This record gives sequence, structure tokens and C-alpha cells, in this order.
Amino acid sequence: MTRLAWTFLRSARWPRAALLAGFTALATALLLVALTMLLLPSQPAEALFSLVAEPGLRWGTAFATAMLVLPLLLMLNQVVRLGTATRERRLAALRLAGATPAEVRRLGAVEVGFPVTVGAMAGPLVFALLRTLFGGQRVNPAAGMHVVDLTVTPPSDVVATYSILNSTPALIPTSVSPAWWQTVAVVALVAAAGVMTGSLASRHLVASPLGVSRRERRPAPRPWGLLLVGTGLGAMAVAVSGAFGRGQAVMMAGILLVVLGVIALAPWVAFRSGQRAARRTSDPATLIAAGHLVSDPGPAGRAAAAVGAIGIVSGVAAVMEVGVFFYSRFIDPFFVISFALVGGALILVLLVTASTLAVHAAESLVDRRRVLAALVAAGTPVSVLRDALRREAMLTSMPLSVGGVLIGAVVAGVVGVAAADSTGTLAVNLAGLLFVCGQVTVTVGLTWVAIRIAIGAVAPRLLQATAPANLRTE
Amino acid sequence: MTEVILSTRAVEKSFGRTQALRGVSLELARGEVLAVTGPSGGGKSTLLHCLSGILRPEAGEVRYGGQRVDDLAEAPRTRLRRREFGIVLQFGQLVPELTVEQNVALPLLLEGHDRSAARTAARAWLDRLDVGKLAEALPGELSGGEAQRAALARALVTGPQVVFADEPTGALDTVGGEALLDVLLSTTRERGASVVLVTHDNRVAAHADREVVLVDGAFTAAGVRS
Repeated sequence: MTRLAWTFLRSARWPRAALLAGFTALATALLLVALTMLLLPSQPAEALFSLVAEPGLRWGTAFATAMLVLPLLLMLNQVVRLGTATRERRLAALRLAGATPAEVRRLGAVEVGFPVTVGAMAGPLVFALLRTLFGGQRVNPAAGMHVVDLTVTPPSDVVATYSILNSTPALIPTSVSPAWWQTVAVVALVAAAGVMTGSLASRHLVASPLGVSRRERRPAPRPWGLLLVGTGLGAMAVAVSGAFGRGQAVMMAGILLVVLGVIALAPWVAFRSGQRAARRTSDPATLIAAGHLVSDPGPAGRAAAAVGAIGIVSGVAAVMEVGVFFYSRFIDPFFVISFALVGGALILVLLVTASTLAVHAAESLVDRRRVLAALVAAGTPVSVLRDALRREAMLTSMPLSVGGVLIGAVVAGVVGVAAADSTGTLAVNLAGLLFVCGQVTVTVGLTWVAIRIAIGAVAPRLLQATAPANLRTE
Repeated sequence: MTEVILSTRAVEKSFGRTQALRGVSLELARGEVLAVTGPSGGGKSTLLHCLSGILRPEAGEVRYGGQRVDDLAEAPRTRLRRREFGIVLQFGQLVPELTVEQNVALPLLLEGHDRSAARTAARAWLDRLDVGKLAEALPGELSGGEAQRAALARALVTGPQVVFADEPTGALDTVGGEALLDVLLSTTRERGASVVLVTHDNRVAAHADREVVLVDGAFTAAGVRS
């Protein structure tokens, strides 16, 4: 069986294995970065940006860094699904040749587990590379201490010094490193999470020697994610009220629950959005897209799930930016750089998510190539199928994006108003509202553009999928 | 004299070094049912694909209603297939995510019909082919025969002049296959449409007005039956 697994590994398409290893390596490196931030002493012996250097902010920064692993796991989930149809046929053939279901499942796990483990083991190398690029520089600890009273407008020379210290791009500590056992634990954790993602994505894989049967309608997804979102919002409210102390930890738990809730809700959003569109549309492209979403909302929903998280963070950031830029007398460069970092991180996550959607679309084309070729043979223009592909991504992503930014902006707005001891003038309030609306529009617009580009990149595959040769494909 | 609706002259088509069609010439009369038979790999499906404008031959010409089809660009060929031709394949090839009714309505929606008109026409064809009660089912929930009837409804809903059927009974048992053929031939004959029937089954070919046998990409002289 080991020999067979090795043969399959060697015959598998290398881009899939490379993507699995690459994204796992990146996820491991990000977790090591977050861990290193937490290992810093309260007074670090190196120049680091305040988000990392200040003990009060460090936990939040490490938490946000660790959260960047979520879109990578969603991407891994999609990459694992690449070539599912071929794998199903191969495993069915093995079952027909006498392999037991357990043996077949083990083969599937090895196929995913090997590149994922290799990737996790390469994670420390990526971490070292990131540390070289974004690592702090050692300084005299005594010279690194600055106290600025932000309740008064500071003198210009203090502002200049403060600005220089806070504009260091160094984000990853170099003066401390995780112990060997901590590194091993992170590598093992990521490898296990990768294998688990793989097994979850492959859980519908063949159990019968005659292949996978899709005769039954899959049950509609339920909005269980709302429970997580509700619990998360409740935790955040508790953290803001300060009722139980340990506000920062409760707030982080609340944010994590909200983000996980939005990710869990994504298949339900995809299903409802598809169902609604299928009932009303006269447009063939929308009908094909909606039908696919309704019949199998899970993969499409999970592929677009991070869009909801992007929306939430962007909505919160928009409200916080209003607080800093419209209601403060002194614009602290620390906030400017922090918002720029958040914006950069969001764009990176958006790129990963758009790539995830592209991978999902490519897989869906390979899986459905015979039906698509038959549609074109019967007179459906390829342009209609291209539109269907794009609309499928939009029908899932746009509600998540709009919903996410609204949740983020409203929650942050409510918390902000509750915490504020005074309100601004009508003009300032109006300008702030317009600013939030502008950022919401930009977030949704950028998401729209990113998805269009990602699906556009897959379009050449559509021509391959609809080729007449696929009418004969088994 | 019978009007020729579809014709080919010296059509050749290759896939790599394999020559699938070697100078095939053929005429199809309006209302005629033509069976194309022969062994596997003989070029039957390739001929059907060239006749219906799915593939473009490398040499020779294909004409529909006197007009060259093979030199048309992709978009007009696609429109021609949608408006003038109906295509039925071995496994139906319905879109698995759409209901049977949505599948049948799809060609009309592509033609710009509104939703309710397309649904009404689709429902009428499904009723006529005895699968009306399955309109809300998904293709995966149908038997092979039911799926082929639905595929036939999808092929006929636009009122095609020629129906191309590639092994339409290949996945059905004898009784189911006979029933499907009866429906296919009665509905097309009633409308005066022509049928090109690709099959390797002599019992199916016996239903045709004429039979040609394709071996190694060329018609055999002995294989023509009128």
C-alpha cells in the first residue's frame, strides 16, 4: 500500500502538490511570526513598530497575524479539491480491484498529507526569510523608551522623533526566537490542520467500487454560523463593557467567533443567493450559475468566505479611521501606519481569496466539462458560460462583502459612540459618515474587480472544457 | 424531387495522426431519417459533429439549406445549432444542477424568450414526452430513459429542422430504447424534421429510412441501405 501511495504521489500533477506545500509553508511561517511576537520581553532590545513593540498592543497584533492563516486554510481546502473527479475515478478503480474503503481513504490522506507535511516543515525557512525582510534591528533598550502624552498636542520636535521611531517597518522580532519544541509544535499543528482540511474536503470521496453517486439532492445548508456571530458579538459587548475584566482576551475571542461565524455562514449565503436568483431570473448565465450554487453551495461558499471577513475588518477600520482623522486634534503617525498595514493585509487577503475563487472555478470547469461541452454543442455560446462562471462568484461574494462591511461598520460605530465622551459637529459627523460610505464602496468595488480579474484568468480553461473532445470524456 | 437540407462534400477530419474522416460525401433530404452505423472508432460521432457544426472539417464542405456551414465563425455556427438543429447525446447530458424544466427552457432563454413563456413551452414538451411530472426533479433523480426523454424535449423545444442523435439509446435497455426511438421518430416525422441517427445497433438503424456504414472514416459501398 505504501508503494502504491508513493506511485500515486509521483504521478500526481505537481502544481497541486506545489500549491499545497507552498500555502502550508506560508501558514506555518505566519504562526511562527505570531508566536515570536508573543515571546518578546516587555522592553524589547530592538527597534520595532509600536504595534509589536508595545506590550499592550502586541497580543492584538499577534492575533491578527495568526488570523491571516484562515484565508490560507480556505485556499488549501480548494487546492485539495483540485482534480477531485480524476481522483474519484482512480479510487473507484482501486475499490473495484479489491482495496478496502479504509485503504482507499488512507491513500487519499497520504496524497494530501505528504505535500502538506513537506510544506509545514519548510515553514521555518519561510519564517527565516520573512524575518530577514521585515525583522527589527537591535538597539540599546534605554534609548528605545519614549513616553508621549497624547492628551495635549506635543511639540513639533517630539512629534518628529516619535514619527521616525514609529515609521520603522520592522514587524518581526529578531532578538527572540521560538524554542525548538515550540517550532516543532507549530509545524505539527499546521501539518495536522492541513491533513484535516484535506480529509474534510475528501470526505465525499468514493466509497463504492462503482464510483460516487450523486442521485440525491444534498440537504440545504443551515445558518448555524449565525450562532457563532451572535456569540462573538456578545463577547465583544462584554469586553467593551469591562464587566468581567480580561477585556482584550474576551474581545479577541469575540472577533475570532464572528470571523469563524461568517466563514461558516458562507455556504448558506451562497445557497440562499443562488436560490433567490434561480427563482427570478430569465438570464441563462444567471440561471446556470444559480443552479450550480443551489446544488453544491459548500465549495463556492468556502472559496468566497474570506470576503466576508475582509468586509468586517474594512468596516471596523473605516469607523476607527473616522475617529482618528475627524475627531482628533493630533493625527498620530502610529495610526496612519497601522491603518496602512491593515489596508495592505486586507489587499493580500483579497488576492489570496480571489486566487481561491479562481482555483474553485478551474476545478468546477474540469469537473463539469462534459456537460459544458454538451451545452455548447447544443448552441449555448461560450460567452454565456463565461458570464455564468463570473456570476457564480459574484452571487456568493457580493452579499458576503456588503454584509461584512455593514456588520463591521455598524458594530464599530455603536461601540465608538458608546465609548465617546463627546460628539462632533453636524458637519464633522456628516463628513465621517461619508468617509465610511466611501470606504465601504471602495472595499466592495475592489472585491468586485479582484473577482472579475481572477475569473477572467480562468477563462482560457473554459475553452478547453467546452472542446468537442469532452463530449466523449468519461 | 426531394429537397436536400444538409449535405457534405469530400469532408476530411483528423485528430493528430489519426484520420477520422476521409473524403465523406453525403446528402440528407428534408424529413429523412438517416442512420450512420459502423464499428467503434469508425468516425460516426466525428461525422455527426462535422454535420452539426460542432467541429470544422479540414477539407471539404458542409452545407445547410444551401449555405456553407463549415466556414462560418464560431458565433453564427452556435446560433445555427441552437435555432435549426437539436442534439441528443448518449447520456442526455442535462445540466445536473438545473431542474428538468429549467434544462428544457434553457435554449429558449438563450433565444431571449421571457421566463414564463420558456417555462410554458418546456412544460408542454415534457408533458408530450410523458415526463411532465418530473419537471421539478434534478437530472440525477431520473432513470436513464426519463433523462433521455428530457434531453429530447430540450432538443425539440426550439423547433429544429434537423435532429442529431448520437447513440441515443446506448445507455438504455431494449424496451426503453425502443420507446425512446418511437417518441423521437414520431415527433420529428410529425414536424417534417430530418434525423441523423448515429448508432452501432442494427435494431436501431432498422428504424431509419436509409442507412450508411462508416468504416475507418469512409462509407463502405456495401453498407448503404435505402
